[in-house]
Amino acid sequence: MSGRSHFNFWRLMGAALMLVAVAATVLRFGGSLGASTNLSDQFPWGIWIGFDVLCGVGLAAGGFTLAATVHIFHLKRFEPIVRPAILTAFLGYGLVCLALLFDLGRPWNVWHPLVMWNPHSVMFEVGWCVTLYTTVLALEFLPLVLERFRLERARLMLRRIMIPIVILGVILSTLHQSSLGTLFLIMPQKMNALWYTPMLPILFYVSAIATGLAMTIFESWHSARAFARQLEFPLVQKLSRVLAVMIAVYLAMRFMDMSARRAWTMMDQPGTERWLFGVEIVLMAVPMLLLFREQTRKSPQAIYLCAVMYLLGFVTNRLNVGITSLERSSGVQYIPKWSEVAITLGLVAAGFAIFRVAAHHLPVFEEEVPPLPPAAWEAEASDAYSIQSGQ
Amino acid sequence: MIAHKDNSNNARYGMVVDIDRCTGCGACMIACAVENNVPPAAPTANERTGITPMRVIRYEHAGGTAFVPMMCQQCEDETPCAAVCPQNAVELDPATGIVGQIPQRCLGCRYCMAACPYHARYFNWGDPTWPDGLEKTLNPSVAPRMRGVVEKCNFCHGRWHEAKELAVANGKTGPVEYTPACVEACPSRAITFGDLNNSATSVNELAREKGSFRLLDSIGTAPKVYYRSRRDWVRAASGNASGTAEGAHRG
Repeated sequence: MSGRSHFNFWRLMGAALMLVAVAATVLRFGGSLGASTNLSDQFPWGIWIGFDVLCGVGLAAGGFTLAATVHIFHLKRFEPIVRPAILTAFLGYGLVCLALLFDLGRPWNVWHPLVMWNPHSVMFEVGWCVTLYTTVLALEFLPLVLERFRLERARLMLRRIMIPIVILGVILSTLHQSSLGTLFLIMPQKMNALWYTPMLPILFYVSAIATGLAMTIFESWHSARAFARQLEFPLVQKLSRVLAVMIAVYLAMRFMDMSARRAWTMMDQPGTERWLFGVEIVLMAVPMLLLFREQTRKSPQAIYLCAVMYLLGFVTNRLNVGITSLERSSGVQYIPKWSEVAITLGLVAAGFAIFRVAAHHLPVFEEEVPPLPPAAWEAEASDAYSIQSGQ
Repeated sequence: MIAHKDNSNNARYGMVVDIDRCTGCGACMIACAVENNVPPAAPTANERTGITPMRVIRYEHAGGTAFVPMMCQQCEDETPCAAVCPQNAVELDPATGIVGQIPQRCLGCRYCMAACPYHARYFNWGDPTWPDGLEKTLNPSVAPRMRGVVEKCNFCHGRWHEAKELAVANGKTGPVEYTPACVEACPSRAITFGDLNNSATSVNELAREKGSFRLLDSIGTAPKVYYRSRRDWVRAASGNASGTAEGAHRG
């Protein structure tokens, strides 16, 4: 199979997924949530929350992780990966907001939490943070557009306020990455003890950082294949080492918490829960162990596969928290309807497609060119003038 | 615990459900649906497509069968649904103790349903449809159901309004007496309703009697719905003695 036909297969696949998603959208908004989902009063949250929101926000964590690394901790050598990470994050949050409109019973009321405050509510905090952080990401993304269209004056102005914006973005991410875990703290009596723990917010935050790193490795690999551009391999190696450490921190916290709560006995309970718990832990522990070996870190493929394995473990974890852990106490079995799956997959496909278009037309993989100072504009303008008048 | 803290002008409406008296006939569910403008289920309806603010749950046990009418438990402390709603669409009314739902504010995120420890909240998964002519039976003192919002039992708040208006017209102030539809409909008089703050009411007396308990009392939500049973295994399944959460309302 040649590279070209491979490429066309994925394009066709993406288009097909998006088409099915359009059909599902008609069912959702032409009909109702009842017609388009298998949710029930016993099981009110499905994959639109479990995957689209919980995983979507986590997978977009690369934006704040790298922005903090480069702009706050001044590890400038990571600068070349900031832009693709910001683009992914911006796309990710955009798609999360879109997915939310599908899930809400009355999406046109989505602004209500911004006006009718209930500061006791974790959802209120998540709503505000996601709104603000999406705005921050738009501002962090804007320089690429301005650079593309050579709007130098606007670029310079934006650059002056960029550091506070980046700091705000990191704070907002810390807040809501963790509060997505806090959402579940209200239901200790409903959740399986394998996942319910008062530590959920911290665990969500730490795993989000690891996911940000893994997503950066993932993107770097795919951009290299699609655009013949690659991150410097030593950078990827460094990222993969940090990733291994972050997974180790996460798993250590997880295991200590399990022991402290004496939750390991839950593994004796029959049912699918313990197996799905096992899948999640193995998918995180194996890449961690592999990445600690220097041998693994010598191969780009091996690093990529480890990152993918961890990402699958992360997705399993979020689905387990959002769905598996709540299923038994609900008394019903939840299997998503085709339309739920279609919209989820369609949004993922849309994410890839928009990333491709943006990467083609915007300076995503280019080094940032510092904007010209105002004096240079005048010089440039007078140059142009003299050339014109010379002719 | 039963009557507490409030000044005398506030009511704390509550309920005592005698599980031993309940035969599981379902008259309360029908009365509830009729009172609250819940349309009759379509022939193709499944468990999700119609809302019922009240459900009678059958609980099987080696000791026998128990029927447990489940509705909003009107939690008084840390009311989970009111705490989690991002836009204050759920409020605990201090004048009545009733947890009220404001559907106009609700955006349908369903966090309150996920948070409710009693699975007592219901979502309008679709538009209510009325067979021809039957829409004439709509109750004018209760708003019709609307798609995309979460709702629940509000102790027949429409009836409370009517009673209050009547009392005010007669120059009376303070708590009023009224009867919710399910209480009225129960043929075996399993449900007693009234003001828990008023020590003269039978609901106050029953709630304090031996054999009365609340579901998941240990989690500290302080519900105003009490259950009672003389059977030990029914009380043991209430989520208090055994420490297991789900026994009492999942059969």
